[in-house]
Amino acid sequence: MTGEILLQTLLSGVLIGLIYALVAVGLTMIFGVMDIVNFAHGEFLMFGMYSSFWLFSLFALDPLITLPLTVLMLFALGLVVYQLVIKRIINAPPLSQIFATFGMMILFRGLAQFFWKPDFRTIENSYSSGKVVFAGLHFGLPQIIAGVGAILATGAVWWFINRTRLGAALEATAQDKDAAQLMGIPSQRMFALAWGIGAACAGVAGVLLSSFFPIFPEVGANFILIAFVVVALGGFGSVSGAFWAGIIVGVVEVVGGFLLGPEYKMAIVLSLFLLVLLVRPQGLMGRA
Amino acid sequence: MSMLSLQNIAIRYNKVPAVHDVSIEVEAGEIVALVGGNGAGKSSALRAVAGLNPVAAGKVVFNGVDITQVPAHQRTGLGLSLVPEGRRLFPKLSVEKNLRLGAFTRRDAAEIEESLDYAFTLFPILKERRQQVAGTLSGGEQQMLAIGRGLMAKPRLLMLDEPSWGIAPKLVTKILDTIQQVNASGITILLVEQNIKRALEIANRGYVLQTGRIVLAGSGRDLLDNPEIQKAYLGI
Ligand SMILES: Nc1ncnc2c1ncn2[C@@H]1O[C@H](COP(=O)(O)OP(=O)(O)OP(=O)(O)O)[C@@H](O)[C@H]1O
Ligand SMILES: [Mg+2]
Repeated sequence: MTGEILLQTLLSGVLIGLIYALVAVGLTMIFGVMDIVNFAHGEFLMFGMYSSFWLFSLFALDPLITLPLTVLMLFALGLVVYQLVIKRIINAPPLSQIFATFGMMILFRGLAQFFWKPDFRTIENSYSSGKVVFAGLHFGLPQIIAGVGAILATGAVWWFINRTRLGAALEATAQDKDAAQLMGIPSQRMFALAWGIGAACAGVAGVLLSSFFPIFPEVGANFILIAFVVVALGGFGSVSGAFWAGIIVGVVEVVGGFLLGPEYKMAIVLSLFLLVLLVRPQGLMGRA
Repeated sequence: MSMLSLQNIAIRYNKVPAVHDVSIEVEAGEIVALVGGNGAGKSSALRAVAGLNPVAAGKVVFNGVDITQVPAHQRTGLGLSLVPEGRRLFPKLSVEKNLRLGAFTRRDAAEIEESLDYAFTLFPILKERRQQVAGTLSGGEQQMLAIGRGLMAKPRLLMLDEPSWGIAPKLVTKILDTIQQVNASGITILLVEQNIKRALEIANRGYVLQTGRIVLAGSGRDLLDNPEIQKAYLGI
């Protein structure tokens, strides 16, 4: 029986970890290409959730149906953020860059509070209370859908970077911007693309979460800290690293919370973070 | 009309001048060597042609077109390619991906395959190592990859910045031979070398740069025979 519970907990950890991975993929991509830490990344996720919420409550459209639309909107938002804000701070000192993205975080939360009220919202769709029983283990249907969706989305990003010409150009820019320019690759466009994809990834995570997680203006805060841990653990800039690190963090958080008590969840995750920084600062997958 | 003409260019880094009033002409089909000691401004000049350094004064004209204001990434498509100092490969990407990125500005898939074959013919070792990541190649292999990648753009002018840097003498010979071979196939070469003797031996013409100024220019032979050069650079 305890074995079953542990397995159940483990798999729940994997499921949430897949979402963490997807959030972190966007963050790690932006960091990898431009060396800029996006503190407003959780707010991209928040916008993805609200997009699902409003399309659902105004037009009764399921978040999965409206997912392509949300992806497009978030991709566009990423481009706009790049054009209006990030472009101006590319060569600025790190502190200015931190203030810029931190400021966006505050701005986006403020806008959401102003326009959409600070209330908790939820989406009650056909599957939000669905259950899946598998080999005696119980899972929520939306969590399963979210896990599968996150795998597909992360896989799509991986495929784009590793198998397409444009993805290779993005990777080349991340590795050596000047050399990439010598190949004829426009850096500015690649930066914009990284922001578009990064925001879209967070948006997809928001959509997947929206049918089982409360939606509110500060919801991004629940994910950004964990995403930083995942990015560091996976090795800054590595998509496959973020994928495995996301799962590890999810499992450590859920299993640790189960064994020691849920109030220690975050403490456990942050201890893992400190441990990684001390022992393997280049991350699990990163090269020294 | 020259293929490349640097007209009185000046380059500064944070207001500190590195290159003053330098003019260089490269005719189609030539091998031109740009030589000089450390910090003379050779790399700065090549980077200015490639568009990585802005020029503070003067003009860069390529095939009769003033490209001084053209951004770096748009110059490659015009037919000039720089194999930069220190190779600057994409270390985590495979040999083949590095080569294919060299052809980023080109669209014709069949022609790109042809260029890939050409690079593999020049440097067969690259074909063997095609799936290996560039960062794990030996220094000499990395240099061959850097040249191969530079050629993948199908340039009319290939600029090489110290291709013999950090590699064994035997391989230097092979690389310089390859440069001549590439030149014989119709590609104009602008070569920066610290290995002054070897560079001037294969060059039609050469320029000697010293603290940011051209101090001597002439045919490769004349420069080799020049007593000043022999004394200052060749230790004769
Ligand atoms: N990015 C930079 N910032 C500031 N100064 C620079 C920069 N790059 C080059 N310089 C300076 O410009 C001058 C010319 O440098 P450059 O690299 O062009 O010389 P070089 O002839 O290629 O030398 P070497 O043979 O050692 O490669 C040097 O004094 C160098 O310190
Ligand atoms: Mg140099």
